[in-house]
Amino acid sequence: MNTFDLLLTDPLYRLFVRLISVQFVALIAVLAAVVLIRLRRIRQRRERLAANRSVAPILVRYLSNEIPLSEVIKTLKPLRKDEAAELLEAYASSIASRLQDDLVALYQGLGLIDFAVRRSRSLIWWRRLEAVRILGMLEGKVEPQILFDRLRDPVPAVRLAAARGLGRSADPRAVDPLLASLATPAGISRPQIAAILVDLGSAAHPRLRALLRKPPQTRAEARLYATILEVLALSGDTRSAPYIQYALTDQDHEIRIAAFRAAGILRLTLAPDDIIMGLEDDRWEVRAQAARTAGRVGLKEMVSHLATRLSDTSWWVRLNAASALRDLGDSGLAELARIASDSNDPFARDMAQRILTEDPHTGSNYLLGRGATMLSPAIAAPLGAPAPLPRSGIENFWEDEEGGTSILAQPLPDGGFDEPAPLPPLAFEEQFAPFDELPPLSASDGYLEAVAPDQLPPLAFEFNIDDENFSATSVRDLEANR
Amino acid sequence: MDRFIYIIDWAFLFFFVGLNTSYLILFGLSLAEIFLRARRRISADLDGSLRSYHTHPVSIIAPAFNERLSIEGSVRALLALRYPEFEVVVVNDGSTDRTAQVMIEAFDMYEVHPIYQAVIPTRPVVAIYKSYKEPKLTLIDKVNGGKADALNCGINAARFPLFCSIDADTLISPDALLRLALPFIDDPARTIATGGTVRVANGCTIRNGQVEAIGMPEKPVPAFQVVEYLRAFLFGRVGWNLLGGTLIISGAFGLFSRDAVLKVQGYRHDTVGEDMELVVRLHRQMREDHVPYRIVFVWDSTCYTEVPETLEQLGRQRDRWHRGLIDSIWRHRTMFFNPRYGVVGMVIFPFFAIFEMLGPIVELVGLVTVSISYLLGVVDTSFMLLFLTVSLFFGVLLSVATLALEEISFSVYPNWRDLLRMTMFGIIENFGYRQLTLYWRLRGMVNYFRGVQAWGAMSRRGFGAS
Repeated sequence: MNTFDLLLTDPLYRLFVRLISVQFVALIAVLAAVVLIRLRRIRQRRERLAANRSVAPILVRYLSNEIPLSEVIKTLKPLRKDEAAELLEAYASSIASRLQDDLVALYQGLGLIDFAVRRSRSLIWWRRLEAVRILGMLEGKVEPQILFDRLRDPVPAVRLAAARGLGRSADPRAVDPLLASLATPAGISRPQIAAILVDLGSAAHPRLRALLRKPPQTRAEARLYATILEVLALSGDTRSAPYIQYALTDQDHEIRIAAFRAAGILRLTLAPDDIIMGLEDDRWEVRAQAARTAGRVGLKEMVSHLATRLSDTSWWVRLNAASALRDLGDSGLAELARIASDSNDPFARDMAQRILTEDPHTGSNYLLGRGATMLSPAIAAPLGAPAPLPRSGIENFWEDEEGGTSILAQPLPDGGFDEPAPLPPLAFEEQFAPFDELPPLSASDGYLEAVAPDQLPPLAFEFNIDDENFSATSVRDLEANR
Repeated sequence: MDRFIYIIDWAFLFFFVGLNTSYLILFGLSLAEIFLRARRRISADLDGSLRSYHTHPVSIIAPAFNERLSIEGSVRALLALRYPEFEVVVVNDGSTDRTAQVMIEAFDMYEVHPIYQAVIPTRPVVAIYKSYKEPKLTLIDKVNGGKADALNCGINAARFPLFCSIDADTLISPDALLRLALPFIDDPARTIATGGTVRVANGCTIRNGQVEAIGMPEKPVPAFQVVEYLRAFLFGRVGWNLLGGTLIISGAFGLFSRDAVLKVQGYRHDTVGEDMELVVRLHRQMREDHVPYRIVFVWDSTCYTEVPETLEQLGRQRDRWHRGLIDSIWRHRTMFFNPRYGVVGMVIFPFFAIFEMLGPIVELVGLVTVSISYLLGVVDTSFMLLFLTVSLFFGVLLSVATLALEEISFSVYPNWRDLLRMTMFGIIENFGYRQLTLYWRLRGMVNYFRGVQAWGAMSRRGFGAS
């Protein structure tokens, strides 16, 4: 049988021939697809570029009241709705709130709000996402209920976009649903919730402070409590100071860490005893954070206590204590220099030397003042410096008692957020009054805080997990919150 | 004898069908993932993350050995990354080419007291430098101990809870680190490692440590690797990621939880595939400890690296990669088809062991036996030609399909000429180049059993010369 006959009759040969045919067709199809995708992409780029060029000046003129709405609509009308939404999003995010009403009128005029409402009911998740992003851009001024509803969307990306939209809305009703509805089984993480609550700003403060009045009962609640403390501090809520001070001695270590961190962010004037208690805490993470806070709030009377912490068993406590001494200025630097030269503890000496030399300014001053004790012998000797003291030795690792590291125990960033200006100290009774003796609240305090602590509504959620993600077993009807 | 050859032929056929079916499934998964994630990518609020106080700070660790030509550009690119808070720790691993001096001069560095938390034992540190110009930059000058040792040293000195390991000759796209960190923000409790896509820098225009224009290399050896890298990252790793088992995070660009890596004592010194070995060890440790975890491949986080330009250098690299693969699989062979390790032990590890590790041997045995079969008359010429055509056509199809993935996802090569050349190299790589890589992998296998541990030097042109 010749090859041609085999190709026609033998099943294996025929299978191979078919495979080759299919492969050939597939190859041609894929090549065509590549070319078509590229052509489409080029066209889209061109259109986007052209639209971008035309939209920006017209939008600016409209928002400056130079041209009427109808003219903008005439320009943008030919665009597809999703394209128009995408273009506007790039500009809308940078528009000041006072112009938001003009923007809403524009979105309405272009039919984008109806478009978003329709898409919010789509079965395709990225269409729902698109809808939520459009409504989120408008800061919840239009159809906010859709944003609330989409917090329970099965797709995390949609939930997150809805949450971010509500975060921009300055709507205090968003706090509970944000805390609870985001916490579905595939919940959004604590950092994300915290960031969104910070975005929500002062609108969230009364409700968040109200939540702090209920002592946490479970680990999950304690974590929520810690998060709220940090959120309030990061969004500059000075009225949370009494809660922060009270939490410095909480029995839960995460709350203590968060409280010290919050105090540092707000630069609260803390009592020395509070810091000392933190510096002597059983948990190294608390000691490290207390040390860092002492430096940030500028408690100069803490110098000797911080110096003691340079002999701590934890690397991070030593590092933060030394950094805090540096932050305290002259008195702290003098103490660091003394430890670097004279301490009997090689670990304290090493850490002090590291912090002093790490900073080019303090390092130079220290080197000049102390005879260059930690320059390499080749450089130091010609300067007449004494022989360097023996090091603790980088090979001799002294294991932390608890081991590991913690983000909370790390040195705080110095530019990662807008720091509030240093605050004047609070009145004594405001600082140290226990919860049940807090000054009476007035209606002007805003949402919910005018209610006595024991009359606060129940939490809208119950936490039932103990890791970084919240999850809720029940969510109160949103309507009840209004 | 005939019967033996017959069995071998069928085994080879099953291997061939199994491998190509796996590739088809991977391609389908990758296509779905890229199509859906392209939308997620658009929706990712990078600016929101950028200003978020809660984005984890990162220590970028760049081990450098004789990188004097490219080190300055690479470090400048790292310092220009968009990320809320990070530090760059360059570990000069006993270079003999003035790498440390170039750094000290370029960034105006001064020596500080060399104290850090030495959790993982490493070769001694000679000195630590900080920069007057760049407060985020640290240079650690240490005695040569290999890449793993340098990375471990960097991990020891890292201040932040996440560390990013990169090669000193790697250029990272400005928002790549932020994209790599997104899984840590989405799920901080479970995410322990993420890896990004590595692309070929040869042929690109580099200025001030940034990729300014992307282009295909003119020389054929790096051009073949462009297609190869696309296939490996956009097609292989995306698919495995969807199955939940990223087994390789390239040493050129990966983000790790410092605590998780410290728990497994960092990178191993005694392997040439330390990046894969670490990831496999993390999988193993987490599964054995019953700790929920995620190791994620983030395909839209991109970096660029200089690849070998000569066949000799490429051969040495592939030889080393294959030794690393065998070593990782052999060390953790207990995971092979072990249900205790879930999808990693039951699917992904066996795939790598059977198709990737043993692939060269099976292909060699297959070729030899088919040739013998032909000589003995068991298989006729037309059948052999048909089989060869199917096999080669399939390779071509996969290469071209990878280009489709590239067009859907990034489409970074803007010129039609580049697209044409990529297609051409995707086709002709099946006629000679792949057979060459088969030879290098076989050589790697032989060298592994001979106990060869050498890395093999790679001379670099450096980005400054691009």
